[in-house]
Amino acid sequence: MREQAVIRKLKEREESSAEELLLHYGPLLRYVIGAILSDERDREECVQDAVLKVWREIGRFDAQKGSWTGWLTTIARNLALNRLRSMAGQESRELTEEETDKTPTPEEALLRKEQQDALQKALGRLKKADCVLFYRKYYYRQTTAQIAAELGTTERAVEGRLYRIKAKLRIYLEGGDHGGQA
Amino acid sequence: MADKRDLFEENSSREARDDAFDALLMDSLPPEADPSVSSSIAPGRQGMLFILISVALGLLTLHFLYLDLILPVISYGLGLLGWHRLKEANGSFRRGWTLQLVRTVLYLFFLFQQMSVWTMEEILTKVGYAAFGWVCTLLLMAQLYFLRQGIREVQRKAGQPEDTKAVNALIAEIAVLCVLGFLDVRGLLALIMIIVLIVCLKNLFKLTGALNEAGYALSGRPARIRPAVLLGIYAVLVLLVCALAPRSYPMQWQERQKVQQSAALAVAADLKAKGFPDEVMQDLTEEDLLSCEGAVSVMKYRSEVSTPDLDGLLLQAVAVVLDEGRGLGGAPRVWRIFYHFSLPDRDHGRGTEALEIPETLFRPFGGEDCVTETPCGWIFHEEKGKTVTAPISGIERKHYTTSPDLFGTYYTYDSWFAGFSLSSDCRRVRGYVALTVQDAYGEIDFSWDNAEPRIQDRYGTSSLCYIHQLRSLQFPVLSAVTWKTSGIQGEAFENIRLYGYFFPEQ
Repeated sequence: MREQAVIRKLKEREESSAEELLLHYGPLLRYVIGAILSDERDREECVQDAVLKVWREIGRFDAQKGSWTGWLTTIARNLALNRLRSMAGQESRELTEEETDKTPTPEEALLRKEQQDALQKALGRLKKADCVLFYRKYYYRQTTAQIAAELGTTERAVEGRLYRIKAKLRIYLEGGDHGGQA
Repeated sequence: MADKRDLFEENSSREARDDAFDALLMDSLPPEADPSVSSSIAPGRQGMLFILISVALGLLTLHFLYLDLILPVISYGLGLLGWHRLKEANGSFRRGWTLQLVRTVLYLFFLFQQMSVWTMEEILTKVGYAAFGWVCTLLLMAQLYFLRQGIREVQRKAGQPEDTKAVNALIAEIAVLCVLGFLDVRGLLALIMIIVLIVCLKNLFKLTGALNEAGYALSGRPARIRPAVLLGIYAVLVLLVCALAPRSYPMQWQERQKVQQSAALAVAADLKAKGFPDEVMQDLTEEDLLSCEGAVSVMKYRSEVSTPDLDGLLLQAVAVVLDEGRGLGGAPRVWRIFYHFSLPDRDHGRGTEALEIPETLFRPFGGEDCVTETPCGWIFHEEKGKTVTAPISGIERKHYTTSPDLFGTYYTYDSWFAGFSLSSDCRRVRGYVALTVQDAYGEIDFSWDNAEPRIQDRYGTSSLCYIHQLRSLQFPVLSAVTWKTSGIQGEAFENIRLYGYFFPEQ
C-alpha cells in the first residue's frame, strides 16, 4: 500500500514524494550503498544521487517487469559502483597517469552477454538460499562479516557456504553436472 | 626446500585462479538482481518473524496430538533463533536475548516436570509453583518490552518515526491473557480469553512488518555460534530432559523376610481362627500382624473385577475389629482395615498405578476425620523364585475437586491415595494398604445393610478405586494419583471401581 502511494506520488511529481521516498526507502538505499562505499560522505552523496535518479527515471519503472525494491536496489548499487570505479580511476590516474579505454569492443560485449546468460543459468540451479547468499556477496558486495551478522551466523560458516557455492558454479559453468537443481 | 617452494607456488596459483574466478563472476552478473533475491535480503525480517511465531505458538495451548509438547518446544527453539539473530543490533535486543536464554532454562525445567510423574507442587511447593508462574509471565512481558524498545531504537536509527502501536497493543493483550489464565476463568470469561487471543494473533501478524523498512538500518557483529549449533544444543537439551525425567516412582525393592517372631505368629493364628483370609495374611508384615493383637472379630469382602486391559483384578478388604468401644461418649470403636489387591500377570511397566480409598467409606455422615494414623502399604511380586517387596511411600490424603464441564459445576472428594510403580517383568503382583479407623460417635456401619443404599445413593463417591495405567506414552506425564485428582481427561489411565464393604464373619 505504502509502496504504491510513494510510486504514485513520484509519478505525479508531488513535492513531498522525494522526502517520502527518503523516509521510507532511505534505509534500504543506505543499506545497499553502505556495503560498497566506505566513506560516510560518499555514501550520503550517493543516496542523494539515487533519490534524484529515481525522481528523474520513475517513468521507466514498470511494476510488471520487476519489483519496486529490486529497481531501487539496482539504482543504488549501480550508482555506488560507478562512484567507486570513478574514485579508483582517479587514484590510478594519479599513480600511473595513464588512461585506459573502458568501452568494450563488440566482441567483448558479446562475450560478456554469453557469460551473463551462462551464470544466470548456473544460478538458477542453486538453492534459493545459496543464490541469495551469492548475490549478497557478488552483486551487493557485502562483506562476509556483514552477511554473517545479518544471518546470525559465524564468518566461517558464511565462508564455507560461499566456497561450496563457488565450487558448484565452477562445475556448472565448465559444463559439468547436467543434473537438476543442486 | 623444493617441496615448500612447490607448495607455495601451488597455493599462489590457486589463489590467482580463485581471484580470476571471482572477477569473472562479478563481471558476469546481470545488471539487475532477480526480484525474488532483492526481496529476500531484508535484515531483521527473519529474526522478527521467528520471534513473533515463537510468541504466537507460546500463546496456543492445544491438548491433542501432543501439540502441547510440540508447539512450546518449537516456540522456544524459534525464540532462540530469532533473538540470536537480532541480539547484536542494539542493547534492547541483546537484553531480549538474555531473557530468552533465562526463559528457555525455565522452560526446560518445566518440561522436566511435565515429562515426570512429579507435579510442580511436589517439586516446588504450592507457593513456589505460583511464584514460578508469575516469574515466567513477568519474563515474557519484560521480553516483549525489550522487543518494543529494540524496534524503537532501530526505527530511530533509520530516521523513521517511532511506531510501536502494534507491539504496545500486544503487550497489553498478553497481560490480559495472563491475568485471565491465572484466574483460571471458565464459562463466558473463557470466551473473552479466546477473543483476546485472536486479537493478539492479529497484532502479531501486523508486527511482522515492523522492521520491513527500518530493518535495513540494523547492523551488528557476526555471531559466535552458528544457528544450527544453537538449535542442536537446544535439541540435545530437550531430548536429555525428556529422557532423564522419571516416569515412575523409585521403588525400594528387597527380598521379603519371613515372619519369625512368635508373638506375630500367635496373632496370625488367632486371626486365621477368626476367618482372616489366608492369601492376605501371608503378605502381612510382622508389624501389621502385631497391630491386630487382641482382635475381637474379622469382617471381609472379596471382589473380582475384569476390564479389557486387566482381566481379573482381585480385591479383598478385611476389617479387624480391635475394640468394640462403648458407644457414644465412651471409648471409640477401632478397626484395622486391610485393602489387599492382586493383579493378573501382564506388562506392568507403564508408569504408575494407584489405589484410592475414599474417606466416605469410613465417615458416611461427615464429621471428624477418622483415619487415626498415616496408612502404610506394601507391594509384592515374584522374581527368580523369590518374593520381593517394597513399601508404598507417600500414601497421602488428597482433597480434590473435579469439574466435568466448563460452567462451574464442582465435585469435591477426600481420599487416601497409595501410588506405586512396577517393572515390566513383575509376576504375581499384589499389595495392600492398611489403615486404622476410629469411630468416636458410633456412626460407622460397615455392614451390607448400610453399604447397599450408599452404593445406590452415592455411587462414584464412596467406591474404592484402582487406577490402572493403560499406556506409557502420555504428555504431560501424569501419575495415576495426579490423573485422578486433577480431573484431566485422557486415555492413559482407567479408573476401576471396587466395592470395599464388609460382611461380619458371623
